[in-house]
Amino acid sequence: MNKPTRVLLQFIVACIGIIFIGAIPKLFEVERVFDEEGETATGPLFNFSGYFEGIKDLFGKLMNVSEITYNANGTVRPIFPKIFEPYLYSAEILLGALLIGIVSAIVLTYITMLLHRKIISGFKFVTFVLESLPDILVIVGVQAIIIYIFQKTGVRLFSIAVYRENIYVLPIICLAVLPAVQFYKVLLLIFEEELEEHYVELAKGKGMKKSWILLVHVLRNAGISMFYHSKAILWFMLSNLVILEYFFNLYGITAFLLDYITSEIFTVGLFMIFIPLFIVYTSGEFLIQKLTKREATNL
Amino acid sequence: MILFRLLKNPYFLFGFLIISGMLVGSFVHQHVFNSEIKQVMWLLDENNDLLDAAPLPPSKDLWLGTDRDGYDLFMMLLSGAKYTLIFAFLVGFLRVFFSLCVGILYGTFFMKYKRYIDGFVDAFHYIPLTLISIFILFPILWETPMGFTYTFAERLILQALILTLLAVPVTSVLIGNEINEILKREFILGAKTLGGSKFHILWKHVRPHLFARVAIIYGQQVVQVLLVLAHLGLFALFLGGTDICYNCMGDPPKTMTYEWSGMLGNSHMSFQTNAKWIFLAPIIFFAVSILAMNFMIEGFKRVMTDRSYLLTKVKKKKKASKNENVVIQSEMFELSSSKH
Repeated sequence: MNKPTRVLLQFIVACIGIIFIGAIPKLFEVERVFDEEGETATGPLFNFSGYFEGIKDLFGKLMNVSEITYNANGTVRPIFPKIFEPYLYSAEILLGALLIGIVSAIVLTYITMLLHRKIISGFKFVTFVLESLPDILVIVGVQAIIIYIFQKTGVRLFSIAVYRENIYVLPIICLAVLPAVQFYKVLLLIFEEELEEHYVELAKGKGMKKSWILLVHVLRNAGISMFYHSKAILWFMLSNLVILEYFFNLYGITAFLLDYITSEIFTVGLFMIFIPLFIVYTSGEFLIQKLTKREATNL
Repeated sequence: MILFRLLKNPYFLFGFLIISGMLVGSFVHQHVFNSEIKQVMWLLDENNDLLDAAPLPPSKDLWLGTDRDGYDLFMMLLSGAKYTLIFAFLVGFLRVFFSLCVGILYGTFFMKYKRYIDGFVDAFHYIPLTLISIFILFPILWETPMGFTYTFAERLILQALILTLLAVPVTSVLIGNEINEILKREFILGAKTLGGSKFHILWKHVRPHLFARVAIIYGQQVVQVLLVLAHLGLFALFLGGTDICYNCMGDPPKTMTYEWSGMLGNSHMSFQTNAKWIFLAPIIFFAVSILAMNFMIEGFKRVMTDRSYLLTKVKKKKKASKNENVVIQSEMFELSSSKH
């Protein structure tokens, strides 16, 4: 099997997975009986036939994506193109946070690597504690600090919460904290491993400064590992995004999905998250393979 | 003994003390103090002048302050610790148990289809776990005007099952790949050549190597469950169901067992007011237990990678054997010919 067919097959399998997930609530739809005591459920705990019915139904609806509608206080409207607005807003926040997280992690790692070994182990401990904090506490903490500054100085740094208005700075900062810590931790490990490699010794022997070796050689090699780690961190960020949008009252994709929750809208939302990420990661892996292969042949 | 070595590790000990302290405190509170929760409505000084009224802020007597009705938040959260933590431990266990079952099958028999299975599971890597948990659990946990569809026990079991099943695909693939890596090692080939059956190899050779990894995964899963519970609580989906009172005007849903997700969901409006501690208290409990779990995981990792105890064992043996050589008993050299 050649490469494109394999990727296509993987994509199709993943899509089937998403449809299977999107229909899960149908598994818990049971018949209800009304009597004097109120309402009781009858039938088995899991409604498997309903579930398969739901998958079929969902598949049919996804074939005509443009006809999927949402019900906003009684008015029925098609979700396209309405869904793009919150979607793009979420994407901006997510990408902004990812970018800030990566950049600040790289800068921090670069600075810490130049420090003494004992200080580095202290930094590692702080990272470990920070990483363990739940995202709610981080978001609340950042908000509390902003409010505190406002109360003390009267300076309103950023808007705390809004009603259907797009704010960027504070949500991005809140969302960036935990990924920055995680990237920082990963980078410290990668850097330490890389520094034991032979090429670093050679460079040192040639009289290069440590700061230069780190910047030019180690960082470039760390990029590849970071790319692979970023997938797990991004997954984690997506969950944080749900909480963030709720907390700041932002109108992003998760808020939209939770507002108009039905199987088909939810599944469409999942696809909209999945497809761009799949493209980015597949092409990224492809590029890395090509680049490393070329370097190997050049040697 | 591994537990003994673990308890000597400061990281593990610290986390262990916090978690077990909370659990023990919770059960003591239930059985010795009959789950009584201190209520302080008014704070008076010596002359019986009113200083403050509920909600009271954190102070020396009330560690985390009180809620709007004057109930001590620390005691409520301590009382809820057993439900929340035991649920998290249980779901963590179920996740690892099912993932092990599936992972063993996957790692030993279905590696041929790795590409497709990984592709299928990959879909889970792009879906926010919180979002999907809310989506699936909402119809189960949220009371409709006509009452719940399921009984309390059913809701609890379903919640545990769903939170388990959502994690099984990803974790099974993780464990399956781990098993496959072990199966590729040289000593397995040796065992196979000597005629070990698949089961024998799994039990005798793979299990010891898998143990440390699975224990770490278990700890991580417990942390993840606690996080999801906190998130669900924020969206007012409580452990075992959200009881909505449709008759009483706008009364917020209440948790009766003081489990933490309910405490969090009940109080999140307090964050906008001056009584921020009502909301912060449950988050702090979540944060502390997650931190404690991570400390335990870290301690476990350190003990597992630390081989110094083996060295001391070898040294002790060497010392002991040396001493034996030194002690020379005179009977050794006696000839026993006299009996003849």
